[in-house]
Amino acid sequence: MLSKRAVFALFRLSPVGLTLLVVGVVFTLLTPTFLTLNNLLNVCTSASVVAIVGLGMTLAIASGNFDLSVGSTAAFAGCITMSLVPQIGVMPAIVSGVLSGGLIGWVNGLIVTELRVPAFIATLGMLTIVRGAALIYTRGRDIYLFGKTEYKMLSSGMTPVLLALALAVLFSVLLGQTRFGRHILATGSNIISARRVGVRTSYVLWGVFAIVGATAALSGLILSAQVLTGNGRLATGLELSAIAVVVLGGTPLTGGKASIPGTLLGSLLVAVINNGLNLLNVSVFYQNVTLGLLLLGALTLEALAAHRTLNRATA
Amino acid sequence: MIEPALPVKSANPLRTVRPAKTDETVNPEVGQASRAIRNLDWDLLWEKFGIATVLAFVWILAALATPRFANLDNLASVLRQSAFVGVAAVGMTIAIIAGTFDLSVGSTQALSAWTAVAIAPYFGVLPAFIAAVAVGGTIGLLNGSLVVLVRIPAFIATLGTMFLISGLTFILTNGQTARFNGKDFVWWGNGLIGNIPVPFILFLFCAAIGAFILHRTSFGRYVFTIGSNAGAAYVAGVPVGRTILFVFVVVGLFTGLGAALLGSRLYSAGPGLEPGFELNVIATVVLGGTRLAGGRGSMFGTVAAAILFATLSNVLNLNHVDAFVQRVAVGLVLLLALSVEGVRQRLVERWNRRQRPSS
Amino acid sequence: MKQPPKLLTILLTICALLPAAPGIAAPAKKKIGFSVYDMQYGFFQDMEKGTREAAEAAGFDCVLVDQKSSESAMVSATQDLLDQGISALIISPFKPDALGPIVDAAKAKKIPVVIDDIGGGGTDYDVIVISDNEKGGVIAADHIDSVLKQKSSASKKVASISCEPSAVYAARRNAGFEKHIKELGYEVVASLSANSKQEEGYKVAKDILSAHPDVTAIFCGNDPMAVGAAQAVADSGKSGVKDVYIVGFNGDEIALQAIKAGQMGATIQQVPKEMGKMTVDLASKLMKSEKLEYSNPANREVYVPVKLITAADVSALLK
Repeated sequence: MLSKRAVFALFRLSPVGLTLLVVGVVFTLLTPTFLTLNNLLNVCTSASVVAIVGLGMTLAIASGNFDLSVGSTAAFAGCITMSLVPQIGVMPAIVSGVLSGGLIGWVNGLIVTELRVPAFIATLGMLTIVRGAALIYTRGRDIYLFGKTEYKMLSSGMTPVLLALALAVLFSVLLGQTRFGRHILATGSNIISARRVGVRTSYVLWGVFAIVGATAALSGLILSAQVLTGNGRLATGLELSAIAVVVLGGTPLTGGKASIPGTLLGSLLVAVINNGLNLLNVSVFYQNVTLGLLLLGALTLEALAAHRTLNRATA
Repeated sequence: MIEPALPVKSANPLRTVRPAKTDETVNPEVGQASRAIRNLDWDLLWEKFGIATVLAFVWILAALATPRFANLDNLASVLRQSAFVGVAAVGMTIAIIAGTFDLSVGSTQALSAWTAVAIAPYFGVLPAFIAAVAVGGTIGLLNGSLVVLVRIPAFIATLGTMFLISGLTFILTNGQTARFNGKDFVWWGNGLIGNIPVPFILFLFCAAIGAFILHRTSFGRYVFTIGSNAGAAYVAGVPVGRTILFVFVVVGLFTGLGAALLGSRLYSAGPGLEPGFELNVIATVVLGGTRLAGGRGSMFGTVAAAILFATLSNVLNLNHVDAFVQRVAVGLVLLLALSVEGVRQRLVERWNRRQRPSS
Repeated sequence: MKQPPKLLTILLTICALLPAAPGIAAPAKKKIGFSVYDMQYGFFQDMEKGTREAAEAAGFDCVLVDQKSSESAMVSATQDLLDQGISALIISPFKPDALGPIVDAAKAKKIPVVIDDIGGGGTDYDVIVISDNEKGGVIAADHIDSVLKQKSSASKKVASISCEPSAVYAARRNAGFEKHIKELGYEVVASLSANSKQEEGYKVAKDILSAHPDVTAIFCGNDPMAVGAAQAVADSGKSGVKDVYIVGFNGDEIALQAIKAGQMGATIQQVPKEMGKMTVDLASKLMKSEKLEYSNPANREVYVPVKLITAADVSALLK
């Protein structure tokens, strides 16, 4: 039997993790399909797509910024890559797609640092610009590759999950062990002080935004690989999901701190909720309500956990 | 009196730090505009009147380049269109000045508008509007409670509420849109007084109320102080929790009113969400000169920004700009309008550095 | 402290407004205004093409506005059209229920209103060209029934994926399908929404396949979702024709290609290009105050049949 102390310790460690566990158990009890290998793989794949862009977004939020243009960047990269695959092959096309995402991210960074536009607005503007650009590039049409199955490797089997995990490890090391990572956290914590001690905040932010753009592109590529189509409508709304999973994971919006495992757990939680509700054939009207309730519930628990910690410290 | 220090809450780490002026005593926001003009404080002048100036330029250029723009019909259409995002933006201005924001305004709008359209045929116009405002206020209360009492960050609290309310609206309406074209009801969204559209007049009225709240009440003073530095405000005795709760209620009330107007304009209201509405509202507020970091803002700017957005899409339509290019154009204008401020700051800094060679 | 001139803002607004210049010189051709649901979708791109080509062939100018899936933009953009001196309005409304103010404004300016598909919202339009969404769902159900009957081992389980919930007129497709397929003795084991998105169609179909591995057919409310679902089926190692029969709706090119590639079974084709042409014909008749022939005079409707497209029909269409 778990003692009360142990439960609270577990809770404090990760409210999201606990919520995930509870939701997982509930769904397992409600439907036998949930815990099957095939389904779990689906859940993890779908979680990975959001997690990859969420990891980039974690860096952005840790540096004190937002990036609302990730959905559009994902679509743009998907279009670029899909149009290039027949011409230059799969791997070069994938690389080009990711690079184009990085480029768009860098432009975001430039707008924030050089033109001093707040990140929220800068990326909001880029959201419409990049999506418009994707639509103009594809002339509104779909680019599909029904014959080419090599491109599918990006989205099949464990690839998305492995990519997400690899990025998670990479970013953890980045934030914890490298100077760049420390600079990111310093910039997010207090940019004025960071500049005073010599951190080149402009370069740091360029790097961060470029990374966000690249991860968004990668997510977009996986999505387009799933459906073997590139079009300008892909991934609308990805930005809100990405920010939501980061916040769920415990990374504070004020910057200066980051929780990579939190982001992964947050992505998993959202994916599990979506998946479970689909398996149970819950009508779409009720899906929104349930998602909202579960999100708020998870965060309430998180807030309560934080309070308990505070109370214990002062008690 | 506690001087606002470096703001802790920051969504924009590159916000310029303004040295506090020594003659700002209690209720520093009163008389800002006139002081700005008297002292030729360009910072403040741009913040208060910048967007309005841009708007004036754009209107003149549009009238010259697109003859049909200056038709009374068309101008009325532009002003009318600005009101629907505008009324919600009035509430959002107060929220952003207080250092927070509300992502659930889109779903609040859907539910409130539906309430108005559903009630109007049976109970009349006034009860319909009141009901819509009440629904908005209630959702605002929910948001405020989540943020203040449960201490959930505003971003995710309002995101969660958005899902919740949108789902509830679908369930309540069973996915069906309500319609009503009673003459008295639709006059509010479609009518004209003289040549000026009724919703625009209501919008100006709301903006005036909003400005009054901000500049002439203690609530408004608290809002500015909390936005500048919530920690310092708390220590100074400002009732932070209660104020933020009211802020969310205010956002909800204004959104509800705007929603009733929209339902009247469209003769209908359904459970579907307006795509990107909340981001448009926030963009309008920020374009108007209010800083996302909080502590400063301009209701006048919000009005000008709302009109500017409506003008932009109108001009693009009148000039038959390709639909996809329009998206790029809108984003570009948003970016460029805001970068004027940023570029100006940089040039000013460079100029200052040349004046003061030390350090 | 001098403030540098606001050159930037002035320059950029000039750039934004430059496209206006050529508009005024040409002699007065009559203008037809076309307000479209959302140019992001192939269906409406085809509709726009058909409308524009027909208008130009008839000697009119065609002015386009895009509602971008927003009811508020629908009303304001269409109002912009009405303020431009058009002689007739053709509109494919995102939210038919919100047509009230548009029809009133058009009537006040004596501009005839032709509605292209989706719905009429109970307003006083002049004519509506409509394809029967519900009938399309019924046709899909019948077709699935005929296909599955030939497979003795097929279970009687089907699924239905619908468009985004706010597209209430597209919802009739799934409603028609589900009602009729149940009448034919099948069980609808899953009825979910993929928000009209292709990648969500993929995800939802995967979940359906997990929950109900013996599902034998999936009907999707539009083609992008159907193609996404087809990919999900393929990724599960099954065939979108032999194992899980997939039917879409619209007749988009991507679906025709998918049918040709054997990835999905069929689609219900609407004919947006022809509908566009029809609306222009009707508009020009209205402009000359001629009488119109209705399929259903009571509602001023002109019907456009929807057609089932299977693999056999596809090669003829894709040229």
